[in-house]
Amino acid sequence: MKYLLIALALICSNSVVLADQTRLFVDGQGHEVRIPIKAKRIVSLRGEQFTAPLIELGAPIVGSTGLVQEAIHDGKPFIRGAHDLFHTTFEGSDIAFVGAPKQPDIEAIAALKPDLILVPDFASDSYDQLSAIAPSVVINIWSNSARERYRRIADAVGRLDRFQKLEATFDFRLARAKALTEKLLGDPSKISVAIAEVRGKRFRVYKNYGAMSYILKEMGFSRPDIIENIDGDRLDLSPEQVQAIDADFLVSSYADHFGQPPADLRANWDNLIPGWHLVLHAPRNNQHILIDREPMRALSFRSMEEILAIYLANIVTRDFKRLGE
Amino acid sequence: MRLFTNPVHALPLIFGLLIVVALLHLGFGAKPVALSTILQAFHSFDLQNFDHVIIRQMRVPRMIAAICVGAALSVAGALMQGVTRNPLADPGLLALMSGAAFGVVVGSSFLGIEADIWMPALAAAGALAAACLVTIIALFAPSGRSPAVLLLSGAAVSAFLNAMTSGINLLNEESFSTFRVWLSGAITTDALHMLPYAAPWLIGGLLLALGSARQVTALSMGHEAATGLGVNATSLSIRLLLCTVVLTASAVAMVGPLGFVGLVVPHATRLLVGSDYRWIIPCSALVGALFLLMVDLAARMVLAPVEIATGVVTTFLGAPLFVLLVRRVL
Repeated sequence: MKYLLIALALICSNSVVLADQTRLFVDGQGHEVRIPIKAKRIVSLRGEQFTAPLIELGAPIVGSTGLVQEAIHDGKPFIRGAHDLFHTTFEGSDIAFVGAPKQPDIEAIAALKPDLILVPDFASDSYDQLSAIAPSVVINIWSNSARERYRRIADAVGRLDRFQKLEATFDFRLARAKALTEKLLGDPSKISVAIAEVRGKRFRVYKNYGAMSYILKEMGFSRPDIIENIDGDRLDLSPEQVQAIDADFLVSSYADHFGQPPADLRANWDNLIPGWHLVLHAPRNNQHILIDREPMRALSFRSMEEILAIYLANIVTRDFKRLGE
Repeated sequence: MRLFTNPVHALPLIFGLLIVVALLHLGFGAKPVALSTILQAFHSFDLQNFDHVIIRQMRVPRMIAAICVGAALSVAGALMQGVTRNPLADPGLLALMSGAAFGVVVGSSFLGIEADIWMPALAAAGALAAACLVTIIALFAPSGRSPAVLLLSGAAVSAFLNAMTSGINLLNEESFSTFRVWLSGAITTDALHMLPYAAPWLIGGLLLALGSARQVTALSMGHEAATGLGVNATSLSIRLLLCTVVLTASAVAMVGPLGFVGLVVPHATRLLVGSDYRWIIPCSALVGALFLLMVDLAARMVLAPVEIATGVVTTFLGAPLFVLLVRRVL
């Protein structure tokens, strides 16, 4: 019994020491920040990019930005991505609402007494104010791959061990999926997949778009040249150039509760690019895959595994007509 | 100074030029299409041939939209300049454009009105409210009729309405993504879907403007001179304000707020036909259509295969002229 008590005391004291100890962390914008080795009170300023992975990692989040949409969650603030993927709500958790992603409530953040604040690169204007409250690290959203971004977040909050466990499980499933793909389809690079959307009056193609593009790349599928050669993550193309994205499969995302249901998605294409479904191989042959955007955008291994399952079912294990056949 | 001593000669020439540019608009774009294919698209259209689709269902609708919007905004600008005797008057600078866009965004975001048929009415309500607000602010300001005061009132109301629109954007980030391109002013294929609903407003506004042209000339000489010529200046001003609102609303409903068209075109037209509004109004309509066709052609071709929003090009062209006019007028 005595030894047990001593062991418990050692474990507790070790945790306290870990939480109180700090280390130097260089963030995405080159700030050298002294952060806790294992953060205990984290504020996240982006729902689907930070809060969702933190939930999956089991990290202690005390505040998160959220969105307010009349049609979602009875018009109460919700955590984008985390709400859709893990059904995490402000009311059902210990996470406090700290304003909109582009307009965080600095006073609400200060009141939470955080020991670490995660700031997305596109909202780093208030970095100086945030760093006065607690150590703040900027995480670049678009310039890293999904996995690398996730690793940086896990590293910043001191949960790399948990990340590696989740990563190992995902890699196991990915390896199985790749083996099945090679067995059924041969060289996956012979199959092309384009990610494109029409939203409002804009025809946009994506090189990088959350788990949708990350899994395609990991599985070894190719992209049309115009997408492969994008210098960045996405490109707004002229609708007249729609044939340049012709591929075996076309992937688009919908967001039903944001008022963009699958039916509207196709109507948007019809409005901007009449005859698109006849000129493009994928929709002509029922090879247009629609993916729920919000869970897909939530940075997490759960999301990556869901997208992997979608591609296995809709590309790898089904009969389809190849481009040019 | 004017290019044509007899304005009668200007109309057919501008009309001829409009046809030439319209043909260029059909023939050139982000994707090269052979002349024979263009002709085939009209006499033996094949839905399976995407080049035919580009011509008939993408470029023709854009062409019609550019002509309608160019004409509407230019006539609206000409009327505003005539009525206020302010060479800097323009639906954008005097907040009508922001008001119209705000009306559409509020109607769609808060009132749940998303049917195309209501868009011109929402835009008109917003534009009218903005126009009244600008007028009231200017009236209560010292030397309220001066170009500077009117312009500053317009800028203030415009900034306020744009801030409100941005606020709605912040509250509805994802839903609002569909509005983003429209708010920067963009002529696209789907602009034509709005045409059946915007056309009555557009045609009504243009006819009213043409019918009032002679009186606008009198009014442009000043209220006292107009009254001396038997024109009821107050009643005419109200009628022309409504006409301007209706024309702006129909244009905004179709393609979103396009800045500077209503400023640039009437000035260019005056250089061609002088200051008689019987000629300025019809010629502005044609020159406006011509201008916007060229702008849309540039928007499609300059960075092809990427397309630039039309509003970016009109601002790029209009802003230097605005600076020039400010230096001359203020």
